[in-house]
Amino acid sequence: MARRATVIREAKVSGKPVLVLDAGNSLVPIGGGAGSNEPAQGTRGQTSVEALNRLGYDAVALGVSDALLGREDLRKRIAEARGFTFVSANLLDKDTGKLLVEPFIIRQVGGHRVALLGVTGRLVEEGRGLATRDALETAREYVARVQSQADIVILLSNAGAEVNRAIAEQVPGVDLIISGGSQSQPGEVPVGQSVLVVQADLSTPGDAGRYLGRLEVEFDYRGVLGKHTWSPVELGPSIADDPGVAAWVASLPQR
Amino acid sequence: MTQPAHSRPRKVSRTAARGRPKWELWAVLGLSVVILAFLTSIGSCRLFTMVKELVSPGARGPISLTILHSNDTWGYIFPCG
Repeated sequence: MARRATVIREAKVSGKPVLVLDAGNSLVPIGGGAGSNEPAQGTRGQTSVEALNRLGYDAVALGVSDALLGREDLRKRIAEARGFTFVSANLLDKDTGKLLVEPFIIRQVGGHRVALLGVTGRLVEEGRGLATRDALETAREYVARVQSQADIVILLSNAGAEVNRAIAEQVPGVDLIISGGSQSQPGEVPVGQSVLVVQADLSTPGDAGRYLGRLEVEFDYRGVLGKHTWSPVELGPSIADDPGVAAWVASLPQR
Repeated sequence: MTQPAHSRPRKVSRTAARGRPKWELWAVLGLSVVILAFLTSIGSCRLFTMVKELVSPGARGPISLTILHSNDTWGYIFPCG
């Protein structure tokens, strides 16, 4: 965590515009952590939101594992976000049919309006007060809606590789998909000439968050994707701990 | 009887009356030639692009951006980097 903070801080002081994004499933371990004693388990994701606040994220999508918290706890976590926004255009309150969080936000970056739109993977179990709409249909509807408000459209999606590819091929206006979820592999996948899909990590129980994706990308004056380089950043011991975040981590109950 | 001041014919020198407008005309002509020469030298495609950039709503020019992204961190604090 403290190494991730260092990479983010160093990128932000470089002077180049930086966006820090998460594609979802950032709050609690899948299956309750399978024997781990992570603070996120005991705090129902409270430490996870605190970490995202401290690291300086811009937008975080809500994922299927986040929905396992259930509607009431998830609402509490959403209320604790400071400085970043949870986004999902298809995660609904099952009783009211209303969206749980903002579907997208618009950020001004280097004179461009950048839309950060969230899409949640399909909930297999909808018994926790939450439900999802079809990801492809959602993307179709909201991308059309944000196009008049933004020059660049970035999708934060944990809907899986197949759905992401369908969105990239069938929904005009998407420039970049930041991918997550267990159904897609880390790496970069160009789709056609103008859409790129990137994913930082493929997590397994006991091994999550060891990689950060770094994308250096150019968009032309119309907001069309141009030259880009992508690389995974392994958050290994060669990266120094951020002292502030390291002190916070040390203050948490040790496992 | 004295004539009112405003009706008195003014004495204006020929230099003042004709010299200044002539100088301004040459300056405008000169500037136009310079602009035309510049536009011709950059070519019609680039000119079209520049005009589009100026009239494009919202966008101000190309942008180089760093995007740092994560996924599926599951709230892990200790094993995370």
